[in-house]
Amino acid sequence: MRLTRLYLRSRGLPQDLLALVALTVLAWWAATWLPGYFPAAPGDPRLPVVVLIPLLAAVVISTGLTSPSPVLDLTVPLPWWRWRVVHVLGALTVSGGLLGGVLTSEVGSYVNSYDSSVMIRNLIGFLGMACLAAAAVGAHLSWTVPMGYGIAVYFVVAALDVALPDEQVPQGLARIWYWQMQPAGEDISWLVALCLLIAGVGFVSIRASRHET
Amino acid sequence: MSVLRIELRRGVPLWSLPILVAAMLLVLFVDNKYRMAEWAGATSQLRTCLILVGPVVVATATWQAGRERRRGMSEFLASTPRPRLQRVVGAWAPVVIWALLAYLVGVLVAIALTAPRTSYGHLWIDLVGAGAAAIAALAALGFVLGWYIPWRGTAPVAGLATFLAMGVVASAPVEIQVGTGTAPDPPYAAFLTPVLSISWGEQPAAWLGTLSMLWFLGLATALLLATAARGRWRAAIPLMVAGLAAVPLIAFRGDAVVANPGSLRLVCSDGTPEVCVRAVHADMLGDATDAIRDLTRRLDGVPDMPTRYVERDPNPWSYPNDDESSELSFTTSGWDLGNPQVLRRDVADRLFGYTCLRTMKDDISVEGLPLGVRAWFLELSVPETQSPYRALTADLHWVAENVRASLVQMPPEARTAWLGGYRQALRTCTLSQVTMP
Repeated sequence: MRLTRLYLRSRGLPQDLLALVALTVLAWWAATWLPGYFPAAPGDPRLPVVVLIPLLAAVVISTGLTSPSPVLDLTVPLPWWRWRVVHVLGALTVSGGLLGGVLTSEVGSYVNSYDSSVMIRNLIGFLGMACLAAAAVGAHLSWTVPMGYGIAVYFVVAALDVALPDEQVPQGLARIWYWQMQPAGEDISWLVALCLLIAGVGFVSIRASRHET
Repeated sequence: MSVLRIELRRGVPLWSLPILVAAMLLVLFVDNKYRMAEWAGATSQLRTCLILVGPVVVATATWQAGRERRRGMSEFLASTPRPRLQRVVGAWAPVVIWALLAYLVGVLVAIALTAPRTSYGHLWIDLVGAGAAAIAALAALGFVLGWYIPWRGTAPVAGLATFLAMGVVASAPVEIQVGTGTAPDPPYAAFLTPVLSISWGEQPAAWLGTLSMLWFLGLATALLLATAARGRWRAAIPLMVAGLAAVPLIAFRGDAVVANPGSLRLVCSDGTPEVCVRAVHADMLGDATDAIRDLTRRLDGVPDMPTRYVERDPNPWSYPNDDESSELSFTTSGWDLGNPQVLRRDVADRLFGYTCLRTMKDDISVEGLPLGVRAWFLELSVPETQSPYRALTADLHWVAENVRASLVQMPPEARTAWLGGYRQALRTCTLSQVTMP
């Protein structure tokens, strides 16, 4: 128990929990405010909440994998990979529980309105991406990949929404690259998110987070 | 100077350069490439790039500011006999210099894309310069956040918050009264943010560029001085300059961008139908005329077809009254004026498209008619998805596809007569009375 407590403190998990609660409040407020701010939006105006809040939550969780004493950790005879898996999946469960309750009501009569399942899907996908980045460049910089991808895709899809004529809008598998912006019920987007999570958790558990230098 | 040289060659800012260049090119090529047909569009697009460049600059600067703390060097460096301001500016400068280099690459690309397409006007250098000043201010803002907030999530949160803030201001809803001739007042912060949008029918007031530069540079200087100067009160001077520049940027925001009648002058071709483009696109009149005459041949015999095709004023508040059957205004961008495919889509929308939205709203058969007619004219099937994240309902798609298939199978004379009736109903918003083809 003492070891668990020390682990939680060393990874700053109490602060992370506070940040996740703050994000949930922000998401709830924004999801309530945006439909009034953009009453004439052609689609669900809560798109920023659905994409950017899970992205931030994933970043908070993945940067928490940073160890303050990586060399010391290596000297301890513990199966660290199990700790990392439990850390990521536990944080995913907590944040999923918090964010999953944000989008409870439908907004307007949009054909493709977003719901709580989309928040969970995006959290899963972005967390997987952040874990992959943590294994590659270190947990302290793991935010760079999901943030860069998330912002760039958000901007590009919003621009294409205006610029593309109907017949040139990507169809079927061509929509895979913006999985995080697709409405509920799109199976392919769930598949991408789950693949990212499995790959991310797998890599970060085996390879650990690269040390901060 | 040698310190700056070392800073430039090492550290995170250098790594941000390829990301920033990619962000610039992404915006220039993916988002509204068509705006590169006029210098107003090119200027706006360069400032729009900051919606992606800004968050990267802020996140990089935030990360850069926290490096001494992360490596446990803060106390050691504080004990050296170098002024703190020198250290701070030395760490902030590489972020700005690499970002400005990326911005310069974007400026050169924008000039290379735009110059062959227009002979009207010029790039507004002062507004582009204000964009460069905005980069300096964003870097200073990020630096201050990273300096004072010792949290590992500061950089990503600051970056995302910048993206959100600029996006919300840039897309703030403005109530446009179509056809009134009066431009709506822009949002309060419209000219205080790095992102700026000016259409090719407008021009900036002479003071806009200079005041914007003063606002951003004043802000950047004040933030740096307040963080690291020996006498922090000195920050009050640039802050005052920024404040003095901000007052007219807010108070006179309605006059900051005004109509540009010269660019809107019509240049027309001879013959029937007559095709007119705006002076800013005069070089493309020949291409546009050929494309429009080619595509309207398919509608020969349809009654009440327009005899004049006019490039629309880009400002919605000065849209002409389109109920005149003899004239049709098209909105294709200058970039695509010579592209028959794009013109065809645009003219299809204007001839058969969504002019009676209120009538259509609750009637699926009425809503499906224009979609089907448009698809027939374009010789395409009805798309299942209307936007990257909105699909047609199955019922609506079925109705539209039936309309298209029926039009394909109709004898030409019957189709011509039906299209005439459809156009008449469209103009009077009585689509519900049209018999399905």
